[in-house]
Amino acid sequence: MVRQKSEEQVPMLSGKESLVLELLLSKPATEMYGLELVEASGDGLKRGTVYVTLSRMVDKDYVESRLEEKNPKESGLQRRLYRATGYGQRVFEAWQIAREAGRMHFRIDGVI
Amino acid sequence: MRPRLYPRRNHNNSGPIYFIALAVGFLVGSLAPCVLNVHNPIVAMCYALVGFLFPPFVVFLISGLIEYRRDGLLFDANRKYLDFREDSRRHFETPILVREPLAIKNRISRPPGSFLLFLSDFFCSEKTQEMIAIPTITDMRIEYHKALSQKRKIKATWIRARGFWSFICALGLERLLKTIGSLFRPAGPRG
Repeated sequence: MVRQKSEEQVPMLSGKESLVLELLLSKPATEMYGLELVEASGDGLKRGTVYVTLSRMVDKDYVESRLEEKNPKESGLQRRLYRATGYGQRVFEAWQIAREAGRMHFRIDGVI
Repeated sequence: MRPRLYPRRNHNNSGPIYFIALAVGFLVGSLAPCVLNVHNPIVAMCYALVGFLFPPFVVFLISGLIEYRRDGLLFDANRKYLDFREDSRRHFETPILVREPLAIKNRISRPPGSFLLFLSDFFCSEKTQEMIAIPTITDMRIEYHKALSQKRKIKATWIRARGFWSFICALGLERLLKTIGSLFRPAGPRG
């Protein structure tokens, strides 16, 4: 149902979402947790908003998450790990192409 | 050494640090409207409320650094019982884990963010809790314990305070706080 809805609509990427996808796709084989994304992004993402962004991206099916496997001897909360989906990767690639095309358009307009 | 399970003291006497913090808060909250020349009674009440709540909150944040002795027993600022004397057993009812001798610095107590977990469990939906609240608290706890393992208590306290703020931001409560803060701003020139 969610996929059908997202196929009907044009997929949108905000600045933070594109940054998250960029970071996740920079290491496709590995999963990252929120704090790792914040540290990797420099000032792009904040601790207070990264999980809100990730939650929204899970809803849009751009990323998938799972709980970290824990040693049964250890106690405490488990971290949530995130990985880009194939759909998210395609959206990010399309978004990059659209962005480049937009830049070209502006350059041509500027020259003309 | 293995920690022992001890009961928690069950009475309403809050201890000197809480008492001092509340007294200071009440004074600050009462005097601030006079000093700042506030005439609106609602704003003055907000000042008193903030003044009353803020010092205990600060004490709560730095409670890991504060210990005090009362009736021969050692407590931290959150009234968590740290030491034990055999003849005081009758004063305690609820069980709590405490450290063994004072020489050992690895005190076992409630981990940071427990109250936030309780709040999120009460107020948030299951999805919000699972996807936003718990990961935020988990990150704070892991950072906190990492700092403690490096014996950097002040850094751990800072991480705890920052974790609180992250949690507030994650749930969008900082807008509410900013709105309350905007009540205290002096009105600008009109027209």
